Amino acid sequence: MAEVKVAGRWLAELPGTVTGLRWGSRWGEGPSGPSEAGWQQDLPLTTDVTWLAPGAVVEVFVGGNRAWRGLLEEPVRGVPWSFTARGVAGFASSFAAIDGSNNPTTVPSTAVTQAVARGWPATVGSTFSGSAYGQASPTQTNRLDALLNGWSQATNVRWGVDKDGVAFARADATTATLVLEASDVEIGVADDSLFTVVVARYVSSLTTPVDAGDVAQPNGWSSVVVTDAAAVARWGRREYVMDLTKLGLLTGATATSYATQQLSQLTVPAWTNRITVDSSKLRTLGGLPVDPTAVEAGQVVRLFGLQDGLGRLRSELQLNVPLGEVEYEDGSPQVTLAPVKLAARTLADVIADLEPAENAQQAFA
Amino acid sequence: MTLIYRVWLGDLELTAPPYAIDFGSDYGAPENDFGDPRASLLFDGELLGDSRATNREAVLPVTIEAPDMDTLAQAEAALVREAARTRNTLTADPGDGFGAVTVFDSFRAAVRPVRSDDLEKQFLRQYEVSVPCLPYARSATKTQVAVTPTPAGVVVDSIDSDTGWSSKQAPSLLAEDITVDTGAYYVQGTGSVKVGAVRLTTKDSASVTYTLAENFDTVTGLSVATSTGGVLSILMRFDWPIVPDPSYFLPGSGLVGLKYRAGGVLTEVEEFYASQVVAGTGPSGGRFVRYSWVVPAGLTITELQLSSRQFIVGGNQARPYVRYDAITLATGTSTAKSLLGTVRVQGSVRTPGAVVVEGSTSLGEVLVMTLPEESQPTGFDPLVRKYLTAGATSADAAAINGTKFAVSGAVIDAPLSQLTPGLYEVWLRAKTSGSITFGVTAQARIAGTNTGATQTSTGSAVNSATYTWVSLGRVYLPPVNLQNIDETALVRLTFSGVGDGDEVVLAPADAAVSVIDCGSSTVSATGSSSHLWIDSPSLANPNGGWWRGSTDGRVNARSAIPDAKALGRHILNPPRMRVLAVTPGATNPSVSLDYYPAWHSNAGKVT
Repeated sequence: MAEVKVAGRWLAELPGTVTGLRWGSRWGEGPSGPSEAGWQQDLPLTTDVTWLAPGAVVEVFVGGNRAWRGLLEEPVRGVPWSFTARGVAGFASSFAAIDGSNNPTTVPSTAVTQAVARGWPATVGSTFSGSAYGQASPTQTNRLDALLNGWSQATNVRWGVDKDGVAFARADATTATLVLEASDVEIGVADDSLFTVVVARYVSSLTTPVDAGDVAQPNGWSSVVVTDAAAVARWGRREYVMDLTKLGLLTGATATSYATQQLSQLTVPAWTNRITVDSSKLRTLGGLPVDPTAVEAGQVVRLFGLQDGLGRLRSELQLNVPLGEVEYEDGSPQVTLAPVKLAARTLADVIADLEPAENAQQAFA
Repeated sequence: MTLIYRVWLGDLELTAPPYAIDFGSDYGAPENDFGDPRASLLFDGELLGDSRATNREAVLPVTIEAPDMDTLAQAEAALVREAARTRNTLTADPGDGFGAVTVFDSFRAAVRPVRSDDLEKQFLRQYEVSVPCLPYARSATKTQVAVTPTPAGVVVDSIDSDTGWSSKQAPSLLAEDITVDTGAYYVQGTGSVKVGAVRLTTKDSASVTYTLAENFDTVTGLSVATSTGGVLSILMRFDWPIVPDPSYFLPGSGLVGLKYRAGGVLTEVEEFYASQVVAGTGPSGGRFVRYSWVVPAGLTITELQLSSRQFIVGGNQARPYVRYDAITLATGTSTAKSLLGTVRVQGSVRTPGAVVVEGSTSLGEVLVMTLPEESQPTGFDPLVRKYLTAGATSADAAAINGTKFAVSGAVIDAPLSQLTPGLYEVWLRAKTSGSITFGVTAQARIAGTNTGATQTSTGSAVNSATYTWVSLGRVYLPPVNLQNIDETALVRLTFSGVGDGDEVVLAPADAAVSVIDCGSSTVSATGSSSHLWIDSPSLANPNGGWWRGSTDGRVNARSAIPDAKALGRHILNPPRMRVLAVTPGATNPSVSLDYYPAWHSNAGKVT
């Protein structure tokens, strides 16, 4: 049975019983780590508990171990009261990517460290790059999540805030710790957003300013084309157009690197649905039923018995996929999960995909 | 004989004038609520898991008889007032003087008049009283029972010779096979006595074929003086697994019956406990279970009769043996800062209650764990630091063990024969300088070789210069599925994270664990506490309760929830519970349970 702490105080202090506790995490493009949690509590309608305030830190404990951490959103008064909380990574959209002097920055480590100093409720891990992602523009201030999304896609890492409140950026794990016997599970693959070639356009030279006060302007552009031969052989040629011109001056090597990292995320077909599995289907590598409270997005699951050609693409007999979404309801023997790169098939997913494209947009004065 | 059956709703007796209960009372029954069946790969049938019981409804036909209509109406009013109470009790005395009084905790009752003109003429009115109640009945009075500790004892008979030993014989049983084992397995002295099972029965259940081996052994010619009384114990080793096998519902092997003769009188020991597992010191070691029981003062015990059972999966098994060693008498008090014991829970169904931990000084950061005894092997010991095989140690008075070990790279090889396979939360008592994340990796180790997949779990960062309990998360032990585990099978736990460790507790996932900081300074009503009460969720505390205080009787006890690191929901399961309390601040703590024994529908006598 899981317990909830809000603002460092156990909810068990309050008279009502907590019911319907659920929490989830995600891994993939965009903010990763704990994503959402929610519960109901039977409190009197006239409750005025000052510490159940929006922005309070919410922690879910299983036994003595923290399983989820995030911030409380406005409680919904009712019979019973309804509470939701969101992961700290999602609040990066409420912070600007600026440095200590409040000027725009495109250096991920600076942006994260300064956001934490200004009050983003995370602690800084040491895994954010100290190199700028494109050139900083004096006029364009980006949101923190916009910078991190763009940078992480181009360098093939995932960023987020983990359940201990540490901001991180790291690549997908490759070692499987879970096994899913998928031969009779209804999960399919789709070729939405499957691309096998990236064509990237970037700024390759700038004018030389003549007078004081002049700003260098782009005056030469180049393209780089990166191909995944194995993917082309399997799926055919599908080209993805990548616009790196907004990043300012780049070298050919840097542009090629960004394009290659982006391509590696695009040659993976998308999955069509989430599945809800029991511990009879989802097991540890030792063959034991999984503890559903310990499944987190980002862990790698080995899929057996999947009837399609993915295995052939990589000459594998089984497929290792990081989990992209995990949702769990306390007390249930089942856990709902989706592998990374879930195609938008439900209305909620389609709407989520329609949110403005998150790219570090630079403009030059 | 005459039965004088009496029923009360609250304080109102429904079997005394003007009320009477007609024939046809129905006390209802609880239903099992299994929830959704578990998904499985079974070809036929569904897997039903744990269930909880739903409320019952008692329906009582009550008649009111009075000399006039107004008295009838007044009596009806009194009945309705009693029925309208939100919480109440329905009490039944079966009426022969031997059966115990049964109490049902009830909710607001409904009173439905059943009008009949014929009965009106006779000044009789009938009502159907429907009382919704909690599923199970309980006894009328609370029971307190203390957990018996196992202080270190003195060996009073080292059992090095087989003189006086016999095993029950009949022509149809296996021949007697009693020898002294000085080579393979013994703990103390020069050897142990090895007795072969006299009856092997292969059984076929729906899920598995298994074999049951039975011993009925007697030793005479002892001379054990119990002096001022205390706890007497004997060590026994079973060839077949003592681990219960949860997949086949096989219990673990163990002692099932014990009698002793003193002064010519043969006494049956009603309560004996598997209190400890002791490693043997012979060439191959081997794990002996210590069975303890309380003995009165002033006896000289001359004979012991012991019957035991062993279980193993499969038929056509070779005959197993039971070894006996070291009868020990313990009379002193313990100086340990922890208490591990077994305690009897009366009643036939699980019941809420209170776990009470008391010390003579402030308790420190207390870890309390309770679990049903039968869910773990005989003598289950969750404190596994004693199996440390690597990791530098040095003295430290603040540690409950008196010494600390370096956590980084420490290795504990815990015997798998001591652990039911399943999920365990690993608790480490440690201190750090700076913020450190501790972790544990588990791997099975058989006959000296690590084997199978590993499982790793890390806790959240901790920064504490004084010892504190840290949860390292949950791991499956063993990390790879094994069957018929024997003594050579260990699980190697390797720890990471720089700090000083004191103790490691393996808490099964189905155990309830509460970790509460009761303070380590002077005991006072507003400061550190010497008493801790943990209440199960019950009608009085629907969410459970955790309280700390400085005196008995919960005087000015305050909520311990703000000081909790983990809040366990402890429920008491008959027939026995295994209880662990670690009290870093107080030596020789006493732990007791305070509860109403619960029964299905009729309470039994409580001893």
